[in-house]
Order: sequence, then C-alpha cells, then structure tokens
Amino acid sequence: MPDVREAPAATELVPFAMPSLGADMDAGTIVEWRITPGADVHRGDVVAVVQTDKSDLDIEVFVDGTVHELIVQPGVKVPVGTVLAMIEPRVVTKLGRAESAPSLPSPPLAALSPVALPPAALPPAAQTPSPPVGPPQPTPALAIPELHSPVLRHLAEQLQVDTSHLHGSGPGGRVTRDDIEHAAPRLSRREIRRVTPRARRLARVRGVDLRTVASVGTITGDVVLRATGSVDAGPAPAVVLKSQPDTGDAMRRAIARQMVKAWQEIPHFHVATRIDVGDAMNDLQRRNEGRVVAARILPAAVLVQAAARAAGDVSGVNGWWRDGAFEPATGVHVGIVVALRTGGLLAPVIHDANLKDLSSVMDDLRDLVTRARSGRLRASEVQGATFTITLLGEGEVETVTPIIHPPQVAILGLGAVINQPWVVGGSIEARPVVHATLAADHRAVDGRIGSQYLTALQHYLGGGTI
Amino acid sequence: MSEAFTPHRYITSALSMVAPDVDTDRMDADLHDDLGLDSMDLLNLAAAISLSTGIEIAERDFPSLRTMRQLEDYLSRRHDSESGRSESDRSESTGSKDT
Repeated sequence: MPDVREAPAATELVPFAMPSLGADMDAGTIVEWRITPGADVHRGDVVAVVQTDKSDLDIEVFVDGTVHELIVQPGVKVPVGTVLAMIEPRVVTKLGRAESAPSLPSPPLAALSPVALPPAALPPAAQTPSPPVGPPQPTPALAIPELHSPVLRHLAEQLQVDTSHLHGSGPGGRVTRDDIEHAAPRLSRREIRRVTPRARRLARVRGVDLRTVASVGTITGDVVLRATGSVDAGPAPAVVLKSQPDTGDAMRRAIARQMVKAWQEIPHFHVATRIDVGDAMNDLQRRNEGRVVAARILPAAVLVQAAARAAGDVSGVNGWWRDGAFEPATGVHVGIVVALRTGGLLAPVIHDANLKDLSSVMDDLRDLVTRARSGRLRASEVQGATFTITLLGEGEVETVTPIIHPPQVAILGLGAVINQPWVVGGSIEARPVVHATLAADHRAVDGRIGSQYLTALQHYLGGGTI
Repeated sequence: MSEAFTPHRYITSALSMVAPDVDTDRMDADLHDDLGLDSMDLLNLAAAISLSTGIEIAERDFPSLRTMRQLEDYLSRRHDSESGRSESDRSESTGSKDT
C-alpha cells in the first residue's frame, strides 16, 4: 500500500470531496460544475451543484485558492468522501495576507492539509474510491486560543484544524463546530475518522489495523466486519447515470429509509402541553400593523424563535446520539421541516436560531422555505441541525407527534394556532392556543428534561417576550 | 395609463414564480384552501406582486384577498385610486384576463 503522504509535491493541493449532506446520504452526483481549472475560488463560493436523493444542492468550497483539476465529471454518482476536484490553496501568512502557494508549505497550511495528495495518486473517478489510508500522523501541537469548549477543542485537534486562523461565524466571532468542520480538509475529515467502541473491540479481537480500513465517515463494527470479510457488503460501486433519476421517487425512498431507521432504532417518548399564545400573537399583530404584507413577520417565526431559545436553555434536548452516548451541541441549529407541495420534505437549518432576533429568524425562515420549494439550498443550509421543529402551520389540525431525525435526540411538533376555550383568571375565554409535542430519544433524554423543555417553551411563548 | 395596467398578468406571473406547480387558471379558487399556498407562500406572492406592480398590499387588506380574482380587483382598485381616480368611478369589471 503506497503511502501517499510521502509523494513529493511541488505545491500542496487541497482535495475537494463529495460532502455528506445528511445522515442518510452515502452518495451524490455532480449535476454541474460552476468552476473550471484555473479559476479562482473563495471560501463560501458555490462551486458545484450536487444531486442527492432528496434534492439538488449548491455546494460551497471552504478554501481560498485556484482550481487545479476537476476529477469527477457531471453525471457520475460517487460515494461521500470521493475527491471531486483538487484546489491549490492561497496561503495565508501569519500577518493574514494572502500569497500564492509557495513551493514549500508554510506551517499553517501544513496544519490544514496533513495529506499532500498528488493528483496521480488519486483513484480514477469512475471506480470505487477506497484510497489507501495511511497511519494517522501524530497530531501536531496546535495553538488553539479562544476555544473554550472542550468538545470543540477536541474536534479541532482531531481534525487538525488550527483555529487561530479561523474566522469564527458564531456570535462575537466565536468559532463554531461548523467553522472547524468546514476548515478541515475534506480528505482528512474522512481519514481522521470516528471509531465506534464496537469497531475498536472487533478490530482488537480480529487483529484489524483500523488505520488501514477504508471507510467514509464513522468506522462502525460493520465496517470492521466487512474489512475482515465477515459481512458480504462492499461500499456501493460508482454508477454512471444514464438519465436523471426521478427525484420525487428518490426523495420518497430517502425519507422512507430515514424514518424506518429512526422508528426502529430510537425509543421515542412524547411529552405534550397546550400553550396560550395570545400575548405573543397580540405582540406580533401590533408589530405587523401598519407594515406592508411583504414585511410582515409570521407566527411561525415567533414559534421557531421560542423553540430555539428553549432548546438553548434545556441543552439535554439539543445535540446528537452518537456511538452510544449523547453528545450535546454547542450551538442551537434548528432544522425546519418544510413540506413541498409536490410531496416530500426538506429540513433546512437556521443556525444559531436561539441568538437571533425575530426579524432575522423571519428572514432566514422565509429565505430557506422559499428556496427549499422553488429554488435551491446550499449544502451548508441542510447540515448541522441539532434540533428539529415541525410546524403544521395554518389549518385546523391541532396535534402532530413527529419522528426524530437521527442522530438528533428530539423534535418539536407544533400544531396549528387554534382558538380554544381557556381558563383566564377563573373564567373561560377564547384564546389562541398551540399544542406542543416534544418527541425525544429515551436513550439520551428523560421525561424530566422533556418537561423542562416544554416549560421553557411555555415561558418564551407566554411571556410576551418578542 | 390605467388601461394598460393588467393586474392579471402580474398575479399569474408572481404566482408561477412562488408556486410553479399551481394552476393559475383557477381565478376563484381559494389560494390557501384550494391551491395549497401557506402563509409563507402568500407572503412571497404579495412581495412579488409589490415588486412588479409597485403596489404594496396593506396588512389589514390581506385577509380579504383569498382568490386570484379578489387580488386582481384589489390591484385594479389600488391602481385606479393611485392614478387619481375616485373609488366610485371604478368599473366593476372582473376577470379582465386579456385587457
């Protein structure tokens, strides 16, 4: 097995790989390149359109540089992690000035790109990429100032991201999990992988060197078994599509897969309550009065903001179940279930929704819902959800008991805001009431936490806080 | 100038932008109940109409605008009144698809 890291390279090229755009995605198809070799790219630029089972997405690049080579052609379906293109990065010096890539990598670049991959060492695009994985390099000592969260510090170390060069997108320039993940070179993200305890155990018992196991994403026990030939299932081979698949059917199948998995694996429990949202709705009406319709704020924004703030307060519902343990998230990134009129669902994400004011939440909500339905979302807009909300919106349906989106541990279902008889100060009044149901993963969350969450939601919706 | 104003065209074009899959021939269908637009779609529809016609739909008027025909009447009325005509002079012609 060649050790690709030892190949001499004049410049350190950064691989741009097929991203994972959801827990259920294992392959994607480039529909269109938006770049050509030699083109300048900047962090955040949309460089390609990728078709997944659920939708077409704009894919951004997270490095500044020049496109060196496009490796995978449009129409070819490749597994997550496949190198799609090589990018020659512009090197940022310690003074923060950009320079063209020198022949020798400077320390920050070396930290960002632990694997120097000459294009010749890459697998041909049409073949299943299971590139040799060299032994992990000793993690260089990285200067990581201003990173207070141990979880993020660990992640940065694991991905060998030097956060001192990161521009944090969180409040006050705080570096978020997304920032770190985006800064990590795609290949190294795949290479420095998560290994489940079962995989580690199996590897030990069967004498498998985990560093030689080719896998996309987490190394699970099944991956180890496959590597030892105990399970007859290799990674899906790359397929050249003769025609575009029916996205509607593909979406249905993707939803089916994900929901069956969620329903079979997650021991759901539900807690529910009715909340009088009269004061919040009155505040909203006052706020909207005199505005034109196009500038109005919808009740959904009020509900989403309150739900996100409650998830910020009760952190036990905000995070993921991974490797047999609850991993709390540092930010509140709320997935919003958007129903498409043509059938199917998407769940774009409002990042840091608990920290945003109502207008910003409304702007995000409107932008994401609109583009989910009649435009196109960016990859970063469907990634990283820590909690999900499904809203029935208008109509007369009072209750929804949703299914959790793994690996998240909770989802809030909000029924339509309906006028109901309500006891106010000893007499009965008609009040707008919303029925809130929290579905939670009992592996990670107990009823007490669920109740705390709904109490917090009640506080944010009932207190006239907008 | 007002004779050149064709609200129907603006509405169908806004609607096909906001909800490409919706049948724009159903002038009297309820946009919400029959055509399946939700509050976000309606908001986007109002925004698209404002952008193309320059007529802002007021919050207080919106609840009564439930069909394409009602929207069309509303836009004609607003256009007429903004062109200096009085409300009472407004012709009641509706469904003027091809004016």
